[in-house]
Amino acid sequence: MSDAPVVEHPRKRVLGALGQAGIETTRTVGSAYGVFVRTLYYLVRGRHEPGAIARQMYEIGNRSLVFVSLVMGFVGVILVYQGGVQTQRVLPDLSQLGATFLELLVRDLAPSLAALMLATRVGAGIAAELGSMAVTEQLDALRLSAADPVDYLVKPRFVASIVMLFVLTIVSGTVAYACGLVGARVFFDLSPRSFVDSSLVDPVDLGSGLVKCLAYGAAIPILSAHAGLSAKGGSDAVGAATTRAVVHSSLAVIALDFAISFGAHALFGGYSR
Amino acid sequence: MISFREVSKRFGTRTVLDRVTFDVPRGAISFVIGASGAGKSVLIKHVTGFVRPDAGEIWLDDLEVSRLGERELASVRKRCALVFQHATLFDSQSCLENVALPLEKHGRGRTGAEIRARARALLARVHMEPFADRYPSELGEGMKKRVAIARALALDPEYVLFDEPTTGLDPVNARRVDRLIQTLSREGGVTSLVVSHDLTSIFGIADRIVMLYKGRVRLIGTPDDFRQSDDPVVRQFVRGEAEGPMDA
Ligand SMILES: Nc1ncnc2c1ncn2[C@@H]1O[C@H](COP(=O)(O)OP(=O)(O)O)[C@@H](O)[C@H]1O
Ligand SMILES: [Mg+2]
Repeated sequence: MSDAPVVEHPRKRVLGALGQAGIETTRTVGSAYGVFVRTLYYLVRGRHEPGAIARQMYEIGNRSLVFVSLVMGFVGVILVYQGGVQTQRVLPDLSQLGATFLELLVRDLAPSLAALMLATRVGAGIAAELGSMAVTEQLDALRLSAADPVDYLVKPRFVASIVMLFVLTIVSGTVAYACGLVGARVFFDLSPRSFVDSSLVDPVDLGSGLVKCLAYGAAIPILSAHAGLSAKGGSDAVGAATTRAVVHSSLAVIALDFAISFGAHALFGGYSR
Repeated sequence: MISFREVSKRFGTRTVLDRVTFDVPRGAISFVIGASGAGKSVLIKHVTGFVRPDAGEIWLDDLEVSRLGERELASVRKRCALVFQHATLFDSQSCLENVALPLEKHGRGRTGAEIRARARALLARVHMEPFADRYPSELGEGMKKRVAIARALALDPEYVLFDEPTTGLDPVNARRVDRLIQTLSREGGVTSLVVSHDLTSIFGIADRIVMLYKGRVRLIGTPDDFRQSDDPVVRQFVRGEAEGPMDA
């Protein structure tokens, strides 16, 4: 090989950077998948400690219930207001507003928005906690005691996060709907009786809402724990892990939302009316 | 015997260990000394497989640790305990539960009561039994370190690696830890490898000393060899002098 400096074509450099990013993404997904598989393994074979799961559920609820309710209340009012205004431009009939809003909440908004908030609040918390255990050698100490950190630390957070995302989804849907109802009354003088209408919610809506709940609830703790477990170095590594957890979890929520919505559409020929 | 053979380790572009070779004989107390950042912690973590060498081999008796997978390392970690530089107790568990964890994981003791009794006995060995039900956050650094040592001894290891066991302790507690290490090896036949830069411990209890400097072994010998060495780097370290050839 010659020592002459290699002059790269700019396009090549961009492609190289893209390739690098692609390789890194694949690697992250790959090793996060490893954490996921081990979590499932320990769900079946590991120790059973309901106390640890309960504690994590409490943590998650404590961290996010007020935050999620507050945000979803505003989201409900804003969406009903904007939806009503747009509808009135086409035709002055708001009789379907409540029914449409409920369908939208069930099939997408309630789980997805709750998950995005969980990704920031809970994802960051998990990464910070596990990350600081990683840099203070507590994870190595666990492994020295023949205890897999995935069994001890990831599994309880995984179960708790799935359960709590269901709870948070129901809470956030209810809050958003209730606030939307008030908004509809105030802005458009719609009676609650005509707003509360579940005629548009069908089993496919419910099913895809549930699947989303499950997928987000699993992805957020796994990606966040993965970010925390792989923290190396000092306390700045904990900060970096926290950021990574939030970015990865949020991206995963959006990507899963897309994939599941698309899958439901492909399987059931679009949502029935 | 623990053997390091031509062990090299880099992090990024920084070479932390450069072809380090030495043996840790059975039954003795060996020390690894060197300045902060010399790579002492990295070196001993190779023995339990928490760090993998870029090149070279680490042997524990007739096992080549550097070749083992995570599953086989579990048996190495049973025979060879590591007391970490920071006390690394689990904050959510009491002292007793911390010590009981490895016992449970390795099925030492059939019942919970049996395991708790063993854990109490271990705590008594480091004079921490009265604090069995306290949580780590309630204890001082020296006490936490002693609990961590009790946890490390839970599985009756043949080898114990101590990473700076006396750093951050007051002199009285530091000498107690020294005496514990001495008792372990004189009466329990345990082989100890101690990372330290505490001169009192080094010259108080070491049988053999290995000095690391700039990633390489600078000198191997007895405490007397170190006292009499005319290598300026060694002299500066063992006399604890500010001026000399050592880089900061
Ligand atoms: N996991 C790691 N990733 C990157 N650098 C590391 C890692 N572990 C240790 N180092 C670096 O290796 C060097 C030696 O560290 P260490 O063995 O902890 O020193 P000491 O001799 O004080 O115990 C330090 O510069 C440290 O920053
Ligand atoms: Mg160190």
